[in-house]
Amino acid sequence: MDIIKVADVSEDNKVVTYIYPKNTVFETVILEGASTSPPLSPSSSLTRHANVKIPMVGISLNRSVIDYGNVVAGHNSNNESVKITNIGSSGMTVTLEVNSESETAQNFYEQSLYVDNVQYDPAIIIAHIPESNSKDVVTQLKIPSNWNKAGTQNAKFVFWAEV
Amino acid sequence: MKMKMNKKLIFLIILTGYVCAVPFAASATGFAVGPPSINLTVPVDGENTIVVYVTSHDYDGEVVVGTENIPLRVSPEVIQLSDTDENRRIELTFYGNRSVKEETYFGKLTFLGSTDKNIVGGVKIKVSVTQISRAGAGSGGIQGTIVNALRANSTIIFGAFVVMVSLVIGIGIGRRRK
Repeated sequence: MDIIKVADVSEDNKVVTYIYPKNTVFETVILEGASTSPPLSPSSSLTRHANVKIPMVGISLNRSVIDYGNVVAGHNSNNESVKITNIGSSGMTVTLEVNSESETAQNFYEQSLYVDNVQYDPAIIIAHIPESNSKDVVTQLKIPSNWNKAGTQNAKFVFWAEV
Repeated sequence: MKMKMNKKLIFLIILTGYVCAVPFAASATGFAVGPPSINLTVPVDGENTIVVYVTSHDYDGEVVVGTENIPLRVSPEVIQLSDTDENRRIELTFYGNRSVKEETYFGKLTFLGSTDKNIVGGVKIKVSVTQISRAGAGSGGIQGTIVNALRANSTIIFGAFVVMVSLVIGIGIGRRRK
């Protein structure tokens, strides 16, 4: 809501001490992305209107879980895609970090996980996403035929956004 | 025959590339942090506070704050974010670390979504932290300013001290002779 100041009043609110001329423009600064500040006192009739936004880096994901199901050594899992949306205010890059609960699981994903057909590497940028855009990245397990440790392999996939 | 079966079994071991059995959420969630880069100075035996803003996009949960390549402790380590938070002001305090050199460290401040789910998003912003001695601290207040001034004028101060001592000695000797 815009508040337009038309007059000054005395401290007891009983006397109008000054009436501002018609079309007086007050100096205001609206901070978006910062805490709201109290309105500034009029300092002049010079028109100055600044809309300051704090640049942001942000990421949004369309899913929170992937289940590759049962996969036989030497075979590939189904493709599982994750839609990554840039909710920041400029283009961003995305990297993937896999944090496993055990050394075996970590080895498993380091050998088996592919992102957009490229083997997992935490140093590789998996996506460049412009502001307000999204990208689907496809993950898949390609399990080496010599992998001989059966069982469930748990891990957390972290998609890191930065500019 | 049995060995062959075992080998076959080994080759046919069913591996589960399993991240979690819970069905995934349909809606997108995440959060944004700003500004994308921060510079600050921290006294080696003190602290300095910066402000970041966090906006939630339907994300409700903890965000773990950490660092990469920055040997200074940051507090708080966890932020509780609600799905309605918009441009929430967060004050982060960096603490000086006597065990590392007084120099500039270039690294990242990390904000990691922390849920029980297995696909999570995180944000990294660039940080440049200069650790300095208390005397050189830009934000060291009046003490830092005084110490800096004393150091800069140490020659003049020493000279004045020598002159004053000489005068006192001279006056003392003069009175004795009278």
